[in-house]
Amino acid sequence: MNTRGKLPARRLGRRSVLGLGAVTGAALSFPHVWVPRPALAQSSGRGAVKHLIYIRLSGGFRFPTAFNGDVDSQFNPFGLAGGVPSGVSWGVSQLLEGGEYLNQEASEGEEAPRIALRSAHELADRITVMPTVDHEPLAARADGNHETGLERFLTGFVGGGAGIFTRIQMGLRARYDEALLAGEVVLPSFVMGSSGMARGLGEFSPYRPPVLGGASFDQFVAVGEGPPEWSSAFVSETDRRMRDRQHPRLRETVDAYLRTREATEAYSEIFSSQALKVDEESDEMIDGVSNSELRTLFGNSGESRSLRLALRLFHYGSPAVYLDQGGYDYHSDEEGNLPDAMQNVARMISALIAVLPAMPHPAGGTYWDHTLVAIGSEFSRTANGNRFNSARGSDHSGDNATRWMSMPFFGGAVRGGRIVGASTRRDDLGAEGKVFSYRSVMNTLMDGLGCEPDAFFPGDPVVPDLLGG
Amino acid sequence: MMPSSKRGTRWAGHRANVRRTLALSMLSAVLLPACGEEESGFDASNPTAGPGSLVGRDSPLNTSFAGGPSGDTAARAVDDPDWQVCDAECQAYCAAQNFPNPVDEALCPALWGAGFDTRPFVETETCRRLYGDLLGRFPTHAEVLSDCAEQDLGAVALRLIQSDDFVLLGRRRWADILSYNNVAVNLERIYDMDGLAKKLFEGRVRYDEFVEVVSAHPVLVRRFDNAGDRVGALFDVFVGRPPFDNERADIARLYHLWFNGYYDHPNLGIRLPDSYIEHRCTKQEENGRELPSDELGRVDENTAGACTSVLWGYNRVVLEPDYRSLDNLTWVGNLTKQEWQLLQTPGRIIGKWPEVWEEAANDVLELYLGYDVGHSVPYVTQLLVEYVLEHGGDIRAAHYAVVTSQAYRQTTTCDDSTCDPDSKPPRWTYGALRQADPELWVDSLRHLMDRGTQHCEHRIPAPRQLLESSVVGYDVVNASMWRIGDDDQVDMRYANLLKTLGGCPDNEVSGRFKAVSILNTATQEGFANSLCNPALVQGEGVDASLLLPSGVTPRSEISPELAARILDHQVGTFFSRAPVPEEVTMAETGATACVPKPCTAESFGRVMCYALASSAEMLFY
Repeated sequence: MNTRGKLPARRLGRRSVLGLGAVTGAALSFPHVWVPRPALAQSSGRGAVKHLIYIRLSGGFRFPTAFNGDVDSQFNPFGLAGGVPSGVSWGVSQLLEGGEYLNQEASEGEEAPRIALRSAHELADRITVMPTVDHEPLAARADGNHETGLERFLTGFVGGGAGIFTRIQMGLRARYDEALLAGEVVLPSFVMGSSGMARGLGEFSPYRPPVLGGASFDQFVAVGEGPPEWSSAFVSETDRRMRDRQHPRLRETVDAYLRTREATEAYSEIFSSQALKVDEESDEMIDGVSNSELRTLFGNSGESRSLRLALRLFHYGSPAVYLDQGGYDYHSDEEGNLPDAMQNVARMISALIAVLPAMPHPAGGTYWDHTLVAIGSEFSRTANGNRFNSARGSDHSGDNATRWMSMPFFGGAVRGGRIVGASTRRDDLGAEGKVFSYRSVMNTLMDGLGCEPDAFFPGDPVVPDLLGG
Repeated sequence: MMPSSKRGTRWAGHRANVRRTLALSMLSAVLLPACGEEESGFDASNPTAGPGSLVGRDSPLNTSFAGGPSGDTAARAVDDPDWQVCDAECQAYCAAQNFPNPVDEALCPALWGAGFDTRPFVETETCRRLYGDLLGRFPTHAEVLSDCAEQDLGAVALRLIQSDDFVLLGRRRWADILSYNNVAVNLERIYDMDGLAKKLFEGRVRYDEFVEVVSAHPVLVRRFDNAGDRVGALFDVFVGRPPFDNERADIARLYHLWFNGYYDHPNLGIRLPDSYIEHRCTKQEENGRELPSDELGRVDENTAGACTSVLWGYNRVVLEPDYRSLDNLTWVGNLTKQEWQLLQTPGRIIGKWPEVWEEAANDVLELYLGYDVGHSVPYVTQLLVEYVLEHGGDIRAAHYAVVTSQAYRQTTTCDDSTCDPDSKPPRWTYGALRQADPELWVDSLRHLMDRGTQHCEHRIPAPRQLLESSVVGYDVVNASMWRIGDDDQVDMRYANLLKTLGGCPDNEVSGRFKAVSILNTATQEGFANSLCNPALVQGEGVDASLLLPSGVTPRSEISPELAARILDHQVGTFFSRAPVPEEVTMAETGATACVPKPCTAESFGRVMCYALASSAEMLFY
């Protein structure tokens, strides 16, 4: 399919197809032709981001308890943090304050950590919040249903044909074309959570990003741990014989597999690199920070592992990583559980804000300058006018409390401490100002990454003042 | 049992009703031992509760199926074959064949009668496919020779269909279709639905009975927000198309009562999402309007139309509240069999539709053939539906008919001298080559390499919260197919491998997928490498004895003859067949090329193992 006019499609050579398959990690037959043209700038932040970390707080997160805290106690029963930097416009909840992760003092005889963590609430001036991101601003009520709410979160619509990350890969296809022509190996975006983020139907199917279960490349064959050189003919001949025996009309399916086997060889060095072994203690400095240091900063939880791996994937050119964090469907005992659970979120934020500026980026500046971190969830939560429901938890329905996803953003492209879009009234969470759709926000992230506009959700404008400026 | 969502001012006038129901609900624990099953009879090893347990027979509808494999059929001599044209001669030719298999009979006018032929039947290949599809793992060559080859293929298929493994595959398939997710739906309902699917694949419920129960099962309705969406889901699952506007509007009235609420589970100690019945279309005190007590809660003829379908007869779904209801809501755990039957009206309506049966038949055809033959040759669908109905609505009959058909049994192979690469014959003239599901690929290798059986628990795709909820929650997970490690956490290594490959879905939004991608291939190679250990890393890989023929010691020096024996053993293990001459030559050459010298049986066998286990022949079948 030629998306740039009527030029005839170019037939790519076998090697080219292999390489392209490698970078898309999806269907290998890739009949797209990219004809450079001036991209239509969507905002002043267009192309300001080289890497995106998108974190989902799974199960529906009660946003005012963290990122829109300056509201009535029926929405944020935990209150506001103290000691927030001056000039911060958004309501910083008490749940972002302090935490055991800040108490990591060096043992006797050890040096103090080179990169120190600060409490997340003290970093609020680095973070900007959109308090009222909405699935459908024109709808009469919120979508508080797990299935459809999550589907909107992952694909923009109920029954959406493409996950957000599939759109990102589609929007960046020209970048991969260029890398291919330059003979470079560039990793694609990775999904380390719900595979719906990597959904790709119809025209989107060639751009599905890989879904990495377990956030690990440990299962890949490391260089030196695979079959010996003399046996390579065994592998290739076994496959070739199988392929050649098949009915001619069936060989195409097998061909696709054989091509990925060839391409896998090109990636084996990356997949088996020490950099990606984020669970192993190593003092080797990669982008200015060692894996051991990252482990100290982020901890050893599943999501911290994903984040540490994300930073290493960025080293190899990956533009975006998505991960699921926690489980916030606290219909019961939210009061007791959420404060502890929030420590993990606070630590992620704190560690990212600490480490990104300490990591020199190959393109100049630091990873902070080139990275955007966004946090979302499929919907927010409600206690129906009370601080908690009868089980000391919260639910999700069609009201404003469920409706507004108060999404935080930080990174070099975001001027911190602000509110973007509509704020909310304290007493009823009524929106005051312009409410942006979730799809608009996703378009903004894609715009920041420099995606081609044809990957965007049509009809949802980019948020004008989130990035850049 | 209290729904979390209060209805605000709308319910302000219901105090009398609430007082009455509160008082009566205190009696319900005493009066409803049969309905309030959870509190008294929670079984952590099988926490099932729901309408699925109310249906089904003790013994299967059929213990065998008519027909079975047809004999080899020759193509009619035709000058210019066209599968879309079957003239009188063609019709007569097919009528004279007297096919015992309905798929063969229905395909004849577009196949043999039209002048085309199928590919030959290669016994070992068909046996491998049968085991893969019906057992969920590939057999060894020894298994093929002892249990399948030179036997009545119909009897083999029947034996496999009657196995527990086949039933488990069917249960898992419905878990995928209905997107089981214990975060979104009370796990007791999921267990109940799974029990119903088990009965379906054991032949203990008719397909239309199954449709009926699923149509009003919390596993289906609790995942959707409104009545219209529930109709959409019903059609998507059973009709294979979205509902037309009039269908959606009409059947939505039969879903008018469903309410998504929550249930504080007394044993698990957590609040679970569950379904409630809101007693709509009944007389309520609203806006200060008072009603005599004998009218309160009775059917309101003025609004009952909102709960009444009229497109397929007059069907009304209204439940009057009684002592079990609170805030005009009744928890589904308290419904009686009769009430469930009333709620199942949508399924009873569509269960009579031919297109529902056709959709089921087409699903089975596509499952085993890998392509949609029913759309190209609708006669296949028609005869398959008739065949299922002749077997009392036992959907297993369709599975039996398809896997014993020639379209399924024929080989996928054909060299260029026989099959012209430039010709485009109809899809049913050559075999069904499909990519193995992640579970099939991984489980086969684990089985063949003696690594034991492991499963993802499709009924609890999100076990963590349950595991941490309470002792009873821990017991539920512990009694499930998940494995809990020494650290008291679910061992997710097997699940993570499958998830990377597209299996073991969490069903939050996306489900199972099959993909050929760099990541998948690298993962598969990594898994094969971990089993075979071709680099001879100390302490890694399976025991060498598994890779070598009996009597061969790992330290034996390799020779061309020994290499051929090892090849024979491993091709039998992995590919369920004997080696072809080309492979023997490869092995003998490899024995000479193998370094460092002297090369041993183990070092050679581990390399061979990797080549075969990671090969395309292991992935496509």
